[in-house]
Amino acid sequence: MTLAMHVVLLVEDDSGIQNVLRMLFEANGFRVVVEKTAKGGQQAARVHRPDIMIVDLGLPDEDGIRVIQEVRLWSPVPVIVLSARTAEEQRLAAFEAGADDYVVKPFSAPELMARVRAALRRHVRGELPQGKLELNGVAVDLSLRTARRTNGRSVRLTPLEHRMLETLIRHADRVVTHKTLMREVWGPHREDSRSLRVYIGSLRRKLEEDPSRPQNIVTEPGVGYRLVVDPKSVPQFPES
Amino acid sequence: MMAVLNDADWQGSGAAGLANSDSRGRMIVTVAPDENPDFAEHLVRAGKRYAVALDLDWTVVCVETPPLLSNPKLARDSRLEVFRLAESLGAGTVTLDAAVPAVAVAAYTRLHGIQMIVVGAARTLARPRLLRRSTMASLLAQCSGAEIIVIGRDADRRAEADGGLTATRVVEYAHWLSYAAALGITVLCTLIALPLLNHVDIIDIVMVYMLGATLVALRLGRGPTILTAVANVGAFDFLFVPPRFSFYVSDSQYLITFGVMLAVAIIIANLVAVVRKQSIAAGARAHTSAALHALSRELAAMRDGDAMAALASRHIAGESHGAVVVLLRDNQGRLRQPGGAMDQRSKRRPESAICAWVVEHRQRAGLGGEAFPAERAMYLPLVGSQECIGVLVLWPLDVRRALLPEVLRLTEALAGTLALALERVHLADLAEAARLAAERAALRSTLLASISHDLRTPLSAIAGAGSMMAHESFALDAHRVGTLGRLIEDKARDMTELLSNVLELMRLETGPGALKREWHSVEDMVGQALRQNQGRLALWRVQVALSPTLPMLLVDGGLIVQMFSNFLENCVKYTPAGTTISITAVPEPDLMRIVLEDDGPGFGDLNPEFLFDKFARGRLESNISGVGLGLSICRAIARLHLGDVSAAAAPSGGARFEITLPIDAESESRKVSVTS
Repeated sequence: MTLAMHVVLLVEDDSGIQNVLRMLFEANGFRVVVEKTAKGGQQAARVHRPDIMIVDLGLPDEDGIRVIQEVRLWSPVPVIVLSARTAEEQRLAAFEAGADDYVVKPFSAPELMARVRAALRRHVRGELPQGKLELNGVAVDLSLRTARRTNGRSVRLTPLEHRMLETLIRHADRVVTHKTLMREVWGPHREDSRSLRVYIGSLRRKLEEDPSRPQNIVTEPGVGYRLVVDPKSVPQFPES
Repeated sequence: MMAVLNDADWQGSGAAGLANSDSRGRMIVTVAPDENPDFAEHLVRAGKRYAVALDLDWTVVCVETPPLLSNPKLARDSRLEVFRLAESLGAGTVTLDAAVPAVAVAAYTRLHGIQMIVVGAARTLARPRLLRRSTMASLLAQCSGAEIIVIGRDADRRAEADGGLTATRVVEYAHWLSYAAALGITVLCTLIALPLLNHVDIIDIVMVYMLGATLVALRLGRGPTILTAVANVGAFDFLFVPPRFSFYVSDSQYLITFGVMLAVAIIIANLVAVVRKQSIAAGARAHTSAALHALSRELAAMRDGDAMAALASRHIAGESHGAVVVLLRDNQGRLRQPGGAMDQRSKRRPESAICAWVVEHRQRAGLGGEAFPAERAMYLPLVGSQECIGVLVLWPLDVRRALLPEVLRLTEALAGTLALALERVHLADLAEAARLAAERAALRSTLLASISHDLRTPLSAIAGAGSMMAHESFALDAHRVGTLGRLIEDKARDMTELLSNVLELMRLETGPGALKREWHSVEDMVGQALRQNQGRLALWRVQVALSPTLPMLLVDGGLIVQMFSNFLENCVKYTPAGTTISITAVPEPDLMRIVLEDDGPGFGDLNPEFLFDKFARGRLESNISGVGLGLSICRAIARLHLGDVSAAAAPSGGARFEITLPIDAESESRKVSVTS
């Protein structure tokens, strides 16, 4: 897939980082639009219709979260948060506002580009068809509620595991927050993160070769889980 | 009518002399515990007049004697009325504990330098005291130096007093069963004696009756004993003394026998009665001290103020028969009920105004107190050695019982025990906080010194590399630019890592407030740590052996993942590539033991404990980046979760780190929030 003529909107107030990002994206064949404020970012999103947005959270006029929320009202454009804020609550807030990914400053250029490409691919691909799905080392057949390992062993999924996997597939390659997952599996008013973790554990034992080093259902620390369908969509060297 | 008696010269140390003395003189009014209420009031009011006229401090003294404990409730209640009246008139009240009232009063007089004693005139009792002197007469003999004012009684008061005593007697007679048993003993003695008549001397038959009377005296009390004695004499006279089957006595020596039989029985009964009352009094005192001891022993083992308050509430509620609420003052001086918000529905809610008054004046209020006496509840201050720590509120089920001096004293003593124990905990907390503050200050200074060095080094590398790339005059080729770029990136990463470690440590050291506990599985957390260090660990072999049945842990997931991550990072830094790292976990009844082991070079001669010190590094002056914060952060994280981390040599010769985390973290976390 060629990325030529993709438009990226940078909402970032620090001129040093602006320059680095501009150079990075231009070198990778993007057309770059830069805005320094949340207001400007919201306007530029409507005017330039970017293919992807990079949003800083600490903006001079408003929090970057507001930009994401405003854009999400009318557009499914991929949004990657680029922030120095590392606390779990802030990551969670960004994902809940509708961000697709979260990169912590200081960032590495290759990592950021990998995430941008993954987000674009995901956006182009759209939702996965329900039914049969090939994951790392395991083939899942949702209609039969079975999973077959490439080494031949076949396992059945319980109804709860099935519902959980269905939810994860619907949001494939994107982070599903604990709250969303609980709501979609158990219904509203359920606040039992313990059983959520128990079921994730049992699902991993059925789908993963090594449950302590999951390749398919990856934990997004403090935020939720991500089902990896396209291994390239998750960078190999996440921020430490 | 009023009589003034003194064994010193009344003129010499008269009213004028007392009033002019430098310090205020002191006076006591003694009231017998079972005094007729009207006369007691009369005594107290007379005392008040003297106190005002002579400008004396005065105290109403009541001597509690063992018989008091068997007295009917009526007498005690009237004593309480007397005390209440005395307190309302501005007198202090004291209850003394002694067998002989005069001795106790005399001792009190000497001890407190009492100059004047007001007593009531001796009562003329239906049963005159043959062998004992009246309290007044004893006082005269023992209180040399003090003036004694005797307030007389008039005739109708005496009649009332006698009426009171009659009422008492009626209560005693109610134990008719005892009397029936006493008569039964007489019959039994007679049945035993009859067959013996022809075989033994008549004096031995007297012994049989004496034995019976003694048994009755030991078991049934004074009244039945007298009955038995009289019946014994009758039976003995009628059946055994010649001429038999008549009350006529032929030999006058038998009259002496009858007299001795009666006297011995009555003396034994009296002795037993006195001993029994004293043992009851001693039992009551032993109960008081046992209650105090039980409470203080349980409190001594506790470290948590709220739990102590709850425990003492239970004890006091049990001893004083009522509902108890303890309010403790927090750091801002506000009163709060330990163990959460006050139950709004409960009818028993302490009045905050009264509580505030109690805290301010450090005095008892509410029921039986000087302030707010109309309240149903009793408000006791919890006073430590320095300040008022809180308020204990008691709603007694039986108001009169709760106001009995012995019950009140026990309640106050229990409250005092609680106050001292709470203060001990409070002071221990203060000392702990001071120690922490000092430690934190020391850490900060070490940190500043260390950071300035560890930041300058990479910064100079970055600045140097950047300036070389920026100036065209160096004419760098692409390869060299790449090298410098990577150098900048590496150094920037090192600095970021250092910064986040420092921030993390600071956050951990400031306390556990920020712990976000949730249920996590060990497997998931280890997995996250492995993923974070995927790149670093590429050349190391990691073996994870975790059972799927491991219990979940209620922990701050982010912190625990960071702890694992620090351990893995450490392995990468200090073991050669290709080293095997194994991670295992064993659940124990209340803790999880997680072991990270490698087969690398191990610690050598180094004491592994040293590694947990801040800024300690395995090899001094090494080129490995970092300031030695990793393991001290690990330990801080484990300890925040009430677990720990230890290091030792592995069997393979490598390093072995053992992490313990409590499994039942829910109850543990409650502990931490209270004690810290």
